[in-house]
This record gives sequence, structure tokens and C-alpha cells, in this order.
Amino acid sequence: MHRKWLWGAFALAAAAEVFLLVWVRGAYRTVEAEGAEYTAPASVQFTADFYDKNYISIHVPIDKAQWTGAAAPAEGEEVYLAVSGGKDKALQVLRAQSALPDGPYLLVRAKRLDGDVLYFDFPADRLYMDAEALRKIPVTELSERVQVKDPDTGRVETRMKNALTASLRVKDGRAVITDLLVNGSPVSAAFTTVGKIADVKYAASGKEKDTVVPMAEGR
Amino acid sequence: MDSHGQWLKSELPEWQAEGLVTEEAAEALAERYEGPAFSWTGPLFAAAAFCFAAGLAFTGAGLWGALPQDERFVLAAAPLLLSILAAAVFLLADGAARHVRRHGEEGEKMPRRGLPVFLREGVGIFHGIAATAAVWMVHDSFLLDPDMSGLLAAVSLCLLVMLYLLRSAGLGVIFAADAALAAWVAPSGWIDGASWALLAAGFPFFFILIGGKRQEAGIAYAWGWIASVLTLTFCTASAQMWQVVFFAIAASLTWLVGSVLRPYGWIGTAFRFLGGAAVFGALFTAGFGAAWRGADGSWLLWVLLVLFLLADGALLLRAAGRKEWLSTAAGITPFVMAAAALLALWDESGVSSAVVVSCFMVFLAAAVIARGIQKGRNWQIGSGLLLLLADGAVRLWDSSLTFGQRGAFFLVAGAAAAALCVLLRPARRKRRRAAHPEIEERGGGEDA
Repeated sequence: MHRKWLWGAFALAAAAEVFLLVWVRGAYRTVEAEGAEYTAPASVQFTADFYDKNYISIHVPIDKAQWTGAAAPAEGEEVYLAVSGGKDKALQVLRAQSALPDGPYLLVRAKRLDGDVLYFDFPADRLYMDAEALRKIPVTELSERVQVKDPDTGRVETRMKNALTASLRVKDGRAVITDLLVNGSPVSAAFTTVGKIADVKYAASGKEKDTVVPMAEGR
Repeated sequence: MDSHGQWLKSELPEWQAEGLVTEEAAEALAERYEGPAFSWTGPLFAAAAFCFAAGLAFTGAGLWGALPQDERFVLAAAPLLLSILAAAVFLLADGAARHVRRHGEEGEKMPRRGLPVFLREGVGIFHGIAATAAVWMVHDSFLLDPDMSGLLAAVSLCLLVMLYLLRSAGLGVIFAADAALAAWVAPSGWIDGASWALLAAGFPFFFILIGGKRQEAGIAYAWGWIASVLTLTFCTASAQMWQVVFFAIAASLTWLVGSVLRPYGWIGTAFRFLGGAAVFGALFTAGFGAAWRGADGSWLLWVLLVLFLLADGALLLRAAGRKEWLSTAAGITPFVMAAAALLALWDESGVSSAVVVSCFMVFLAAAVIARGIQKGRNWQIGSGLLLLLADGAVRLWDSSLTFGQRGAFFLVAGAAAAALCVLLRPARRKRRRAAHPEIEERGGGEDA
């Protein structure tokens, strides 16, 4: 092979490989910076390696929409969800279709069609965080459920102790979770404690006093 | 020292004692066929490289979870950039080495030889792993879409270009694996076509390796390539019938390629052995009626089948032209499978297709036995008999045939065996030999 062609092909292939990496990162950052803001209800997926990752696995329970396309989509086929922002920018899925909608939309993979209801997985499920910030998040606060009496119906219901909401950015069909809100506050700020970590030995009777024993830093 | 050399070494003292060769001649023969002295350098170098790679990979994996996104990006990109740099340095040095050695110090003509093969393979494998890992790491760190099949197809295309530039068999195996993996993880269909095109474009590299006298590298690449093609057939054809048909075709083609590569010695034998084992494996699976139930398929699969049959037909005619009758018989397998697939469209129970495959398996096993008798190979005769027994076991076991159908099959098989017994009885053979003494002189073609 002529050396000029050899080096040309080499440069082209090498540049394409590097471009692939830069493009993946750039696409994510673009959606994160320029996407339209939405919120959606969320729950956290806890696993044994929760603190060993640099992201929180988040489940957004938006997984079905009315199918308005002509033919049923094949499993795994990419389809469009027409979306809009409701009260407090809450993400609302209007319909699923095979053609590009006029307004904002999400790209999802079709799982199955049941009647005219299309099922899919929500396309974003990770909130990337620094390891230091992740270690401050208490698992119990995000997963604990409590029983509360509904003031309207009078029935006792099991609900999440803290209301979790995912903050999303959507652009060109792609979605990025930018924050997890706990009762409306960012998760990184919701459980921040001021002062030193201490072990408290509570008084057993009226004659005793609570004793505070300072602990070493870190978990 | 190879097995022939070891045999010679063990025989020489006996020959010397019997006076067949003199002591000097025995020493000269032993010296001539003494294999190269074993060196620990190669295995130790490979062990050191493997340990360093594993150590770095595990250390990186330990750090990976705690790193923020941008540090992950750097960790993914750095080895890739390093591997590109290493590849560039290698290509420069290899070109320079070829230039110097081609002309010699005093301008005389010298054979074209580049840098050592282990450097070529080291650089190629490093680049293949670095590129694949980088794409996965960046995708995992900036996840927009769980589907990374498009990225894998794109990196396979880049690796295909690098494959023909670096000419590393290890890089070839990684490229083929990436192309097949792209189709494996793809949720939709278009990636399948891209993966087929990529693997087809990578096939000529096999002939570059063989042409460059790198037989071991050629066989390693070919096996990686074949494994990827088989994986791809399973992705393209999700129905069991199509998987069995394409597996049988790939196995048969491997056998026929082995017969084409006969001049290359053990490399051809290895292909024929692998292909033979796979052909009978596919036939066993296809012998069950369940494999043919629910036959269906898109026009793409039928077109793919016809293309494979054309390729198989070309190799089949070549094998027949060289009088390699056993390879020719094996080459018929895809046509039998295609016929069984067509039958399955008509008989949806799969019984007819399974019986056709079983009958062909009897024919192929008989061909193996006949070849064993012709060449005096007991292991081949034994293998053929085992295959016949296994085919019988499949017919006993397969519940897709009713007891009546199974009974009819064995009655027909028994009648055929009895007829053969009468036709081949010793008295008749003796009479034929007396009438045609030239039959003894005929030998078969070169075949396994």
C-alpha cells in the first residue's frame, strides 16, 4: 500500500475513534446544559454496591402511553413520545407515535403494544454524582415507607417517607436526570448536617444526662 | 520437536542395532530433525504481559466507581491515545525496517521483513482492547441511551481499517467480536446488516495472513471470525430452525475451507476437524422434529440462505473436482438443510424435515465409515459407527414422531441395511474383483 494512503487511512481511523468518545460526552453535556427542564416522580434503586458507584440508579415510573401510529411497532423499535410540561414542569406524556412530533419529544424503545397502550422503559435512569456527595446520602431516608392517614378518605395508606422527584432535561429526544429532589430540595443538600459526627448515649432516667461522644470522620 | 521427530528419535537406536544405519548416519539424522530448543522467553513474556494487563485492569476497575464523569473520560481516552501512538510508532519503525532490510547495507537485495510478529500482535491487541474499552467506558459514564450497538458498530469499522494497516490477528479477533457483539446487543434490526457487511469485509484478511506464511495467526483469526459469524447468525435468525440451518451452513463451509487449505498441512486438518464436529452437531440438533416447528422467516433470511448456498456450491464443486468425496458429501449438508427448511413450510409438525436430516446423517456416517475402510483408519470407522448409533438414538428419543412413524423409519432403515448386506456380501465382491481386477488399483482422492 502506498505510504501516503496508509497514513491517510490511519489518521482517519484514529480520528474517528477519538471523535466517537468526544461525541458521546458532548451529546450528554449538550442535553444537560441546553435541554428543556421537566420534573417526574422517581424512586431510588438500591443495590449492595450503592455506595461504590458514581451514580444513583433512579426509576421514573413513566412506562406507557397511548399509541397513535398506524402499524404496531416491532419490539426494540425506536418511537417518539410527544411530551409537555404541566404544573411545576411535571413531565406529561401525551401520546406515542412513529412520526416525529411537532413539539418536544422523547425517543424510547418499544417493549410491547397492549391494545392501544404502548409499553416502554423510561430512557433516563442515572443521576451521576461525585463519590463524596453520594456517601452522604442516607439510604433509609430515600427508601423508608410510612403509614399515613389520608385526611380526605380517612384510610391509612403506605407512602414514601420523603417525596422523591427527578429533575430532567430533554433535548432532541434525549433525556438526562440532572438532580433528585427530596421534598423539593436537591438530594445533595437535603441531608447535609452541620457540626461533627457524634455518637449520642441517651439518658435512661431523669437522674442521667445525654452524653455526646465525638466520632472519627468518615464512615 | 514434532511427533514425527520424536518417533524418529525413538526408532534410531533400534535401526542402529539392526545395522540398518551406521552410528554416524543415526547421529546425522537425529541432528537434522532435532527441533528448535525450547525457550522460556516467549511464555514468560506472555505471562508478564498478561499479569501487567490484568493488574492495570483490576486497579482501574477498583478506582472506576469512585471517579467523577470527567475523570472517567480521561481514564477511558488515555489508553486509546497511547495505543494510537504505539500503533503509529510501530508502523513507522516497521516501514523503516522493511526499507533497510530490502536493500541491505551495500544495496544488495534482501527479503522484505518487518518488525517481529509479537510486537505487531502486541500493538494490535492493545489498540483493539483500548478502543473497545474506551467506547464502553465513555458510554457508561455519559449514558444517554442504553443501546450501545451503534457505537460498537462504529468502533468495529475503525478497527477494520486498523486491521488492514496493522495486520494483527489478535486485533482481527477483537474486531470480529465487536461486530458480532453490536448485533447481539442491538434492539432493532439494521445493525445486523451492518455487522454482516463488517465481517464480510474482514474475511479477506485471512488470506493476507496465510499469504504471509502466518498459519498460526491465520487459524486463530479464522476461528474468531467463524465464532463471530455463528453468533451473528443467531442474532439475525431468532427462530431455532434458522439458527440450525445457518449453523450447519457455517460448519459445512468450515469443512470445505479445510479441504481447500489441505496444502497448508495441519491448518487444513484443524479446519476439517472443527467443521466435521460442528456439521454432526448441527445434524443431531436438526434430527429432532422440534427444531423445524413454526418455520417462518423474512425474505432477508431466504436471500441470505441462497447466498450461502451459492458459496457452498462453489466450494463443493471444487472439492468434487479434486475427488475429495467425503468433503463433497459434507458440502451437501446445506442443500439438505435448505430442502428440510422448505419441507417444514409444508409439514409444520417438523417430522418430514427431521426424517430427511436423519437419512442424510446415515449417508454421511456411511461415507465416514467407507473412508475409514479405504484408508485403514480404525478411529474413523469407529466414529462413523458412533454417529450411526447416535442417529438411531435421536430417532428413538424424538417424540415428534409417533410410535408408528418411528417403527416405519427403523423398518425402512433395516431393509436398506439388509439390501446393502446382500449387495456387499463377500462372494459377490470376490466375483466382481475377478471380473474387474483394475478395481483394486484405484485409489481415492486426497481426503480426510
